[in-house]
Amino acid sequence: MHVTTDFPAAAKKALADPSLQAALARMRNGFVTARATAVARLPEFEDLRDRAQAIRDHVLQNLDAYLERFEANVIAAGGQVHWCRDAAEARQTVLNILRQTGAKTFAKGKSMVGEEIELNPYLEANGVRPIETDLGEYIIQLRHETPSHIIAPATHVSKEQVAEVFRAAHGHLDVGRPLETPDSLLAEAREILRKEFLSADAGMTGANFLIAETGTSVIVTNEGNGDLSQTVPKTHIVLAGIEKVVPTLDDVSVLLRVLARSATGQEISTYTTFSTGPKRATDMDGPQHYHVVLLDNGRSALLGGQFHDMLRCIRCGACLNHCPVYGAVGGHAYGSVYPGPMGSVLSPAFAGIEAAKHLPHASTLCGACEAACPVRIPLPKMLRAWRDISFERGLVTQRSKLGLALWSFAARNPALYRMGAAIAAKILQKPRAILRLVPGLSGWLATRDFPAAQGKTFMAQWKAKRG
Amino acid sequence: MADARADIFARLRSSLDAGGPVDTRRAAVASRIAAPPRIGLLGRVSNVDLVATFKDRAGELGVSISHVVSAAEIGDAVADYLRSRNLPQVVRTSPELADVAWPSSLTVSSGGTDGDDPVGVALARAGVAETGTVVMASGAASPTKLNYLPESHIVVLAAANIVASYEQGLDIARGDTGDLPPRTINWISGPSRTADIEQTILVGVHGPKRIHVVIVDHLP
Ligand code: SF4
Repeated sequence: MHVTTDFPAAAKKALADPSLQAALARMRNGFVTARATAVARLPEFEDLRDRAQAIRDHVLQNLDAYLERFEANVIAAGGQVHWCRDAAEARQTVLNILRQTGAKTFAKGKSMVGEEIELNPYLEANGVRPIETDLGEYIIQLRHETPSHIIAPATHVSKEQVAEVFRAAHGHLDVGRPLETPDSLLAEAREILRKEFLSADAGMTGANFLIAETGTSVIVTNEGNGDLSQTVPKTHIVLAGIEKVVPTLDDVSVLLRVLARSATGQEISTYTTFSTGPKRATDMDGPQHYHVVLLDNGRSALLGGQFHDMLRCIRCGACLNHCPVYGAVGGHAYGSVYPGPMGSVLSPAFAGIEAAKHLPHASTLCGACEAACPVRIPLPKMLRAWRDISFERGLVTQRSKLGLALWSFAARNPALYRMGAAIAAKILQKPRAILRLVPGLSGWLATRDFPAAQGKTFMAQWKAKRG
Repeated sequence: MADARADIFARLRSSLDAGGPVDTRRAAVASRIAAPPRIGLLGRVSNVDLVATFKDRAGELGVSISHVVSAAEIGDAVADYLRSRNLPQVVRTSPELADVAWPSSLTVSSGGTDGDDPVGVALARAGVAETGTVVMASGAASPTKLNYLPESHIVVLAAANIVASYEQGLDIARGDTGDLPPRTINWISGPSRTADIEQTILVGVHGPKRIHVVIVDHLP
């Protein structure tokens, strides 16, 4: 996995992009309000979060034994399990499976692990055509982009931009066709992708969960693309991280109650699908081959260490949706397929702190992420731990270290922090010379250029925009 | 990749073994799977009329519903629904519904689908009142593609199979297959949808554009 950008520079650019800012405003309003509504309707929600956390903790404490059980049950159901230490092994494994079955076209359901291992360019270079079938993923595939959000990959794209890329990609269609409305774009995507589903040689899905009890993989989608990707082609490949396992169908039921509510604010996503092995001899349809590709890629190294709790993550995206920094700059500024608070913890782990040294600092440590996280991951604590590591390794200069120390002291007291940040934001509009007189602050400002462009703190803007 | 497997387990064990030997963990896993702690019912489905609750929740998801008393009325309920929506009177039905008496106004065929059928009619294993979700399962007379490829999806659901929770719905879907659940269990909660274009909710992306559930009080 690569981390490609310099966060402060990318953030500055993002703040000056009006189309992106409009998209982010839509996202903030949509997800945060919807989650609050869904949570308010379920009095048991906090109790379910506790249970969800306990399930994930229990699995991590027994992860090797759960993986053994999962593997044995996949095999008992007629499927195969492939173990991959890193991204290169996972890419190679997927390609080998496709080659064994002679597959040339590959219908893909949304998979963040697929993004993590940068699967598409590798397959293309090796003669397989991957087709992203989630509408958002399809849009960004056509735009040659990475996702900007883990559950809403094209959230940064306007409908005009979708129309533009559809016109470019679907050159065989009438050039005069109207594509102004979201409905017309949807109808076109449905028609194009339907043909792809029906002719694809193999299909892939990610997995929201893997069930040890039964050897089952579970996906959650709203579009139904993951179902067509796995039901129509003759081969179903599941690509998942080794931490995704859960004990039983009962446990998955608990986790599903918090997943959709945290993610999109729906009570439940439209499609939740449990897949166990290939089709049975007497089944009327379904894939003939079922492969589960399990990826480590840095996960095992987190087990038992200071970032252990991050392995509880169920990739719901709530921490992105509630993060004032993500809400201000969007996903691409992070330069990693995993943006926002969860990404700023995972990216240094997966890509190295040297490459991702800015990301733990791309946070106000306001705590909104942890407050929204369905499995109560202490994200601010882990961001601080990465900051400490980056200081220790000399990746952050003495000046900014002082500034950040001052800042994080203030951040521990929210009222003081808000006041301090508001003052700092005001100060930022004044000539920089004055600031050099404030000990410590100049170092902080050196790495904190982006709030200056706005003149308001992230928290204040965020509140105003939500209000 | 036998080496990769061994390496990954060695990495996991290098930290897990600090907590005790792997056999202790295997025993913990075995006992947890043998007796999973099932949570109590949510308040919203405790001491309520489950059929009424199912209808309310499904309605919120954009599912339309008709409720009939006997299996003999299923055919007319399907035909009435299609007529009310100006949809073609041409249905592809799951072989599980072979015994239904279809009205002569309908053109009926039975079997799986490859995408040319405008309307699919299938039998649900269960309905979950908690969220208005229908539970489908693959089988020898139950094609999964029928739930996804037709533009209109009609689901026949026995009132007796409307349960409170996901867990109870899964119990029914697992049925008598023992340890091995059906290849595919689908929970379906409303029509296919997306918010991928400017966060606007649009219905009918890849799967059905509309779902209608026919609840039957007495289904043999
Ligand atoms: S860290 Fe928590 S809130 Fe963020 S994606 Fe993971 S589970 Fe969701």
